Amino acid sequence: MFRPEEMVKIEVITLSRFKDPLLTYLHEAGAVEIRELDVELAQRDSPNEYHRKAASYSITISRLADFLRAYRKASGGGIKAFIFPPERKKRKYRYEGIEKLIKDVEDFLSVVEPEVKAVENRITSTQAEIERIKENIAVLELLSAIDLDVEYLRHSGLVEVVVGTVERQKFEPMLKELREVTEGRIAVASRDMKDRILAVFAFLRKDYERANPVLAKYSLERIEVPEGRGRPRELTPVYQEKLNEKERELEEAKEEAAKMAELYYDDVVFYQELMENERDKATVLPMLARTNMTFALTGWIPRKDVPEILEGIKKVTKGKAYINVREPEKEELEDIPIKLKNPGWARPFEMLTEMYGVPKYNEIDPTPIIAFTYSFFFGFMLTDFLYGLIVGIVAALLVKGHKKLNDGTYKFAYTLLWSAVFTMAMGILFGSYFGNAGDIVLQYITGNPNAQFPRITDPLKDPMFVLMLALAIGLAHLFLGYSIGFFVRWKNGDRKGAFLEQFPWMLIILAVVLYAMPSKPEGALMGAKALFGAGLVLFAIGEIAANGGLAALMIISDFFGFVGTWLSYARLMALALATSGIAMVINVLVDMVWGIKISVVPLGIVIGVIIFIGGQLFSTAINALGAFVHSLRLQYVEFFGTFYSGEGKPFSPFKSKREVSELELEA
Amino acid sequence: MDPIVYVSLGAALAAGLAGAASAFGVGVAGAAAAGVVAEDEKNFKNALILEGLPMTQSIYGLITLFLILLSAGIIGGGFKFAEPNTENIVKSAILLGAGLTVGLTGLSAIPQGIIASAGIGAVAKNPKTFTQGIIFAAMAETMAIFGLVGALIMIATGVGL
Repeated sequence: MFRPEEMVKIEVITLSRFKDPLLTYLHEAGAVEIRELDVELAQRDSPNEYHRKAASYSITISRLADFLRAYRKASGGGIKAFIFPPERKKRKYRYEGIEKLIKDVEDFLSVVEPEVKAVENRITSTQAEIERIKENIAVLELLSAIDLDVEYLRHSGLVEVVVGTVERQKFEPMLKELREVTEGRIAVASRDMKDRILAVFAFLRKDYERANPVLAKYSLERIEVPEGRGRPRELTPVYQEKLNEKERELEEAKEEAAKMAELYYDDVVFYQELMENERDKATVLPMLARTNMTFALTGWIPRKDVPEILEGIKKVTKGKAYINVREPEKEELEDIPIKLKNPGWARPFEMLTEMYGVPKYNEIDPTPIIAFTYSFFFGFMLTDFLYGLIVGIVAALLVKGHKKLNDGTYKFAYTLLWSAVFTMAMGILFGSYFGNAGDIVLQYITGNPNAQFPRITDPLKDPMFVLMLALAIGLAHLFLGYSIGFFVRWKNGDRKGAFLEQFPWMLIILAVVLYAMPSKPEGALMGAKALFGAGLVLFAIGEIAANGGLAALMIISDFFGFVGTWLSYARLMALALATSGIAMVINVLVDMVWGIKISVVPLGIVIGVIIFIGGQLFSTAINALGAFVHSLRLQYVEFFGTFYSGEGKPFSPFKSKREVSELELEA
Repeated sequence: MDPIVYVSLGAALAAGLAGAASAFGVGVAGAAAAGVVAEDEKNFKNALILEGLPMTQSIYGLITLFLILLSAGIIGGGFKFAEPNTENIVKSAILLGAGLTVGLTGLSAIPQGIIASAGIGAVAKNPKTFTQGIIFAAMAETMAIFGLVGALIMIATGVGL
């Protein structure tokens, strides 16, 4: 807690023949972040033919998977699958080296790929044919206006027939020019079609050479006349029949694809995962150093994982390895990857810290503090028992459903669950149950027009109290931040920085607290002034030390920056009041329609209930979103601004991704 | 001016200005949202949430409208400041000020919409920027929140609910 996982550097040199098993073991263990090893004399390693094959097969297989996924019969889906996603079974694969794996994949592909490809081709070719037939039918429909046997329209011999459409205003001049060039040896049939003219031209073969440029000049759009005999009207049903047949064929092909998906999809996804992991494994090869017989790797590993990994490496290499585990050196401090270490209850909140950036190795990990402050601020801004209950129920369901997956949804739902608890607590404190709806119901039940749930104060009637509360909380939050910053800097040896940048604000905050105390003890005012003065002087010295000539400006801007940061906590009060305000607006609306009756039908009650449920759910959603955003903002901007850099490098271990597969390694 | 004019103006300006600004903001963000949804339908959820952010100002405006009407007695009972004496004019002028504060700070919905629309574009390229996009857009809301804080204090301490 508060500190990231301790890291040590591991260096391994062993024989080349253990390379594949060792990398596979480390990839599955997922505890080491492999770093580049720069050794003069030694070469860099590089992927071999099998790794390249793995990369290529992973692409082939993912194409197959995409095709099959499209035809897989969908199962589940909907809200239930979202809340309770089914667990995917992991299939075991006995790993005996990349050569064997590639051979297995090749065997699998040699069976499956042709089959799937055949179906895929059938589907695409049938689809193309269907498109062609549809075009033909459209052309026939067009030609039905002329009502000539299509055989004539396709005619080519002594007489050439051309069918096409042309813009209306171009038709007459075109016809004139055609008559000229063919010296009148031309027959034309034409029909009007809105702004174009459909025309059939027949002229002698020998005139075609001269007529063709004219047709092109007036941009005649030629029509490919479909095959067949008979008038278009007679031919259309024939094509329709063909179309139906092809569509049946397509359905059959799709069904076959669905069968294939049922048969092979799981296998395909399984091999896809195996290949993708091989490909991922090959990405570290250029970081290794190698000689003819040996290779070496280095990387960072959490100290707690060292014994297990050491044991594993010894086992894989049968003891024929040089292993060195050492403490990080001082100049490596910036280079150490950061893995957050928190107890189970705070771990999901690491998500919020990681979103901003992980701490440096010698900084403090604020996750456990955020777990409380974030949830509390969220609760303060939502402040309604029943809103909290709704959010809490949704969050609890998601936590239950996603616990095993430990995914982003689980973590977010877990943070939401904490926030919901604080929301309910604050709701009870301020007596808010769907805003003032609780009170209205209570008044109706007891018959007492002034009945109210117990509360410390009504925020809408006494907003100053809530504002003071919000600002006091803000001051405490900032003081906590500056204290942590002071402590961390002091410990890391930057005493000057701690004294000049964090300490002045701590003094100033203390002065403000002393000054604002309702019943001041003897000398409190003097103390406040002294503290404030001392803080201000230290702050000014710090600014001069840091900015030199610009200090005068910076002193003013930073001091008011601090005031702005503090006042920013007023949003706690504004959002809390906005929640009760919106809830009240909904309740007022419901109250207005409640009494409406049409003869004896109590229409108002029905509409009222709809408005109430819809409105309060909408209000829960919009206020929860606001509370989430602004609570996070107070952490990121106001709180982190006092002490936190978030500039650490996150730990990204060399690790396999296994959702549907599991490797059994050789003992 | 009669007190009723101050009160009505205050309520109208709070809900009206903030509502119009929200409409602008949502409009700008909505145009971007439509674009990224066309690219990939998966962007819908994220784009929708970002698009909704500039809507908050209109809600602040609406709350202020209700509080002004409530505090002037127009909702629940009769208009309290009908008599145009000094006290009533002062109180209703305070309500006008409160409404104007929320209305003007509600204009922050327009830049918020611009930020949200940029965020929508960013989320379409990289869904991991979603939360960051929300936080950026929420920055612009700070002014509206300060406006609401000011107005609430004006209404509650200056006039009373």
